[in-house]
Amino acid sequence: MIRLDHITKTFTDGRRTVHAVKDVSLEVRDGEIFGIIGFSGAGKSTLVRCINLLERPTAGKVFLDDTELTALDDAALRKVRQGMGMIFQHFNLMPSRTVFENVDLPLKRTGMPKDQRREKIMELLEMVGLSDKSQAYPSELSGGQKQRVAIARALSCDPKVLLCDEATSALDPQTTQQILKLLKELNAKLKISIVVITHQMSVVKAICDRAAVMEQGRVTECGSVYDLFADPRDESTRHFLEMASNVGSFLETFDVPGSLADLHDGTHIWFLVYTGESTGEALMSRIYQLFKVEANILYGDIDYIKGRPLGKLAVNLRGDPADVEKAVQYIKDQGVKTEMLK
Amino acid sequence: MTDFINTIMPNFEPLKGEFWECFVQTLIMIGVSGTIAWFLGVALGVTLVLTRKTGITPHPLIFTCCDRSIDVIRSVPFIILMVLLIPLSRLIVGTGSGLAGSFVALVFGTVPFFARQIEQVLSDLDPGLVEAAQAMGFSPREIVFSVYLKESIPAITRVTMITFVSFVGITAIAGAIGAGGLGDFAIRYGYQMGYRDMIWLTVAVILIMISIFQFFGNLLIKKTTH
Ligand SMILES: Nc1ncnc2c1ncn2[C@@H]1O[C@H](COP(=O)(O)OP(=O)(O)O)[C@@H](O)[C@H]1O
Ligand SMILES: [Mg+2]
Repeated sequence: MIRLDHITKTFTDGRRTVHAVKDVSLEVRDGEIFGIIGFSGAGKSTLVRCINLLERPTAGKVFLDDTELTALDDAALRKVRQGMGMIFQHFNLMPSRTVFENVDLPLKRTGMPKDQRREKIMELLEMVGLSDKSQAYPSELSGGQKQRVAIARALSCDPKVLLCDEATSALDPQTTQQILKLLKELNAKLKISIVVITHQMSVVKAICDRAAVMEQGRVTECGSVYDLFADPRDESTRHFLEMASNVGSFLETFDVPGSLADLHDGTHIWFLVYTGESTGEALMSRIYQLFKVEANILYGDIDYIKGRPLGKLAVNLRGDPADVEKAVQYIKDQGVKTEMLK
Repeated sequence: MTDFINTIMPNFEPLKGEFWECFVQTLIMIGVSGTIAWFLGVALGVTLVLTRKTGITPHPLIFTCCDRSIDVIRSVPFIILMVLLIPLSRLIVGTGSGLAGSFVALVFGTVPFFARQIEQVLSDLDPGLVEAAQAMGFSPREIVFSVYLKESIPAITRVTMITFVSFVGITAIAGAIGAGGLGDFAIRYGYQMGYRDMIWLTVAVILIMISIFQFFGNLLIKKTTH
């Protein structure tokens, strides 16, 4: 439903040019939650602003359904934007207006009669769980409540798409979970597509169906979130995933003398990624039974991505080298991704 | 009461009528030129913010013209500006002197200063609010009125109060080109005739005027800040 076709955005400011987005093509499907993840400065915000053309791409086309947005003039574009809600890291509520008036802001312009608007606003506030705050001012609300108001405001014109630029990055972990839960509910209830921009891995894991990884203006990998985490194909994707998870801190201990990973007996450390139902512990006990190979677990982690487990183990395998080789082959045969780290 | 006034201001009784006339002239200067200058200043400040490079409708030519004119006009001392603008005033209001002749000079003397302050106020507004409005599909006109101006009411009131004080100051100077007003009254009777009590009276009336203005300004700020 949203299609970005070879989008490039270059900022030129005096003599300096910044290639914020480089040749990005991707598609957001109807009703899905699509994540765009990457380090700060990767170009995520610029890319999402290219979707509603707050930023005009230097090159490339943006399609919403069959309409080419990049071909529209400003007036037509403003109409389209009413059908695309957007929420922000810092909420961007109008401080001089009450919660009610903030949600009314986009509605007022549609020419809907006042009593209909009132009904609609109360309905929206009900949906985000803030019906008792309609007369409060933004300054009287917590961060989570502000974001709820912003969501209600973004949904007031019944958009088909909700764009979220770091919508949970200014919130504490608990509030983040609540907002993510709300987004998920809205996605299911209203059947709207949601584009989630974030640098937080946990956000993508919690709610996204598919995601793209961005690095230095490029999308390095794009696919279902589970595949992305289980089997990142791209080197930089892997790098990003490592940096943003506990594996990163484990890998850092490799160069530390005296750490668990500081081996000098010719044995190796293997990194195993297993998906689905098999569990790491069972596997380790089986290779001991079958090959008399001992597994010393240096690192272990299980993630649940949209409810499916994804396990990661770093093990030091000890035993007769020939047996170790057989054990590794056995592990591979079980469908476990295996990589020798050291 | 009359005895009391005559005791502390022995010169008031014979000048009562003239004082009243001058006071009304000052009010007219403030009312007419002040109102015109306020709207022009806001419009110019908004234009600067919209047309600058990072504005929502960038336009280098318009921006540079406004920006430079403000700097030029601001650097001319008001008393010289008044003389300089006499031909323009004749063109616009038909006369370069008297009460009507002061309007053009007062507007030109206030607008650049006020426009800069408005520009500053609007620049201080959280750019996220403008971004949110753009994302909702607001047109530039709607953004000016519903976001820039609406969300800056307290700050605009504050700079209006600041400008008002210096504006009252230049209405007094405008007396020099025969505009009349309290400044003219103070010069004629306080300075040339040496009536100290009339100077004190003028000062008191101006102070009260400014205080009343600030009282309502502060009230508005209080009501619109949340
Ligand atoms: N308006 C702009 N002018 C110049 N450079 C910009 C502008 N907006 C973003 N950039 C640059 O583009 C790059 C990507 O920024 P951004 O899209 O905000 O990244 P992210 O949201 O992933 O942190 C950064 O190097 C940033 O400095
Ligand atoms: Mg960003």
